[in-house]
Amino acid sequence: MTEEYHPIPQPDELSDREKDDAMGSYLMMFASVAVGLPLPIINLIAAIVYYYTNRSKGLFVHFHSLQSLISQLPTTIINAVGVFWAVRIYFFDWELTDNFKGYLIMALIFNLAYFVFSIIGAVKARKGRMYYFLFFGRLSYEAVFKKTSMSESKIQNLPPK
Amino acid sequence: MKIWRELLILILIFGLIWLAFTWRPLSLPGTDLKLSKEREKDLADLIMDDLEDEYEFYDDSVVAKVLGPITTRLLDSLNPQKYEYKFHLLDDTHEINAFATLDGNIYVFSGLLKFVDNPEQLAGILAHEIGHHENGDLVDRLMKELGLSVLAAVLTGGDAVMISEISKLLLSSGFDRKQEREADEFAYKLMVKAKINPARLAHFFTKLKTEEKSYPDDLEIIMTHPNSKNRIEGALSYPLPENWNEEEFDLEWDKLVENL
Repeated sequence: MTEEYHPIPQPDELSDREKDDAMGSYLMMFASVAVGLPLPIINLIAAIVYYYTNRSKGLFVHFHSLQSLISQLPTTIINAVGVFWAVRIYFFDWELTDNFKGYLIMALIFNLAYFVFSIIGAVKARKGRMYYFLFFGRLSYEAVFKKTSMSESKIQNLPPK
Repeated sequence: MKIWRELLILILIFGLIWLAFTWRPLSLPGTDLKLSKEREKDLADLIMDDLEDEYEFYDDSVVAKVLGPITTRLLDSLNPQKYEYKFHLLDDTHEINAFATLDGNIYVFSGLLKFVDNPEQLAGILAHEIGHHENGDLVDRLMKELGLSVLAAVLTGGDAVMISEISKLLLSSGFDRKQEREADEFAYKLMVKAKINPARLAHFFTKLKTEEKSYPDDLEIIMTHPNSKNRIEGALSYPLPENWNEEEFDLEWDKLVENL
């Protein structure tokens, strides 16, 4: 079976509405990250809701909202572990280990990187451009643009004979 | 496949950054300040002046009679000594506390003397406080929390408010877990040398734990986490040398303490 991909939409083929929605998927995550900082599960739920309401708005929007959703996962997990760890230290160990300090700095760097890449992603999306994050970009591309056998057999309506 | 390579790169970045900063944690500026011996002594005197304003001190003769036998035994077993230790007894039966300031000064409240069951328990607490001195925790903590302002206080001859802040800080128990654990370790070692069973400290912790609730909330109680199970276990499980026997103090403790 040969792997076929849907064609990638070009900037002039996209409506402003699609570009806005694609940009919104990145900006939306920021709002939810800020809200969900103490309990990262909140922003995860918000991200999933946003993804499901937008995935049907065309491949371009689908790609960007998926990339923004899955690229948020590691940051969310890193933050959740950090919060959990901090609480543990506060209640049980009462000792700041080098391991934890290193982890905090690492978490800070990852959050910053996530922030910066999301901004770039939002700007590119607004211009109708594709933008691939490391790993997550490729993963989203595979998930969204790869033709499945289902999508091929969907041609049921034909012009008059 | 490319996608796996990218995932690997991402995980590597994650691991390497973590490792790099664990290996070489960013040191906060201002913690490397040094307090010279002379300055430490000046500051210790200023703190003592401040405490004298706030509390009644017992005469040296009382200190020698009550604390003398205990401290002499402890200090005889401590070699080498970082400081010339000075012990003070403060009159406040509501404070179950002992604390160390600077330059080998250790303050004990009469409330603590009345609280402990026997002089061996008190010896354990004093050994713990000596441990903070010997480990350099006090200077370390002062410099970390107040930094330059401590130096300024000494250099300007002691701003009253500042000195009072410093003594309050030292009175409150704000060492981190690691420092407390190391001071405990030090205390066990010193107690064994001085022929006092480290388990005495465990008895004291247990007593604190059980009676903590029966005391009013505003009571200042010694040490950060007295009810920590680990500390009790640590004191009980400290290995004793072979043929080692405890030598109890030859003191009529209840009578001594009664008159305070």
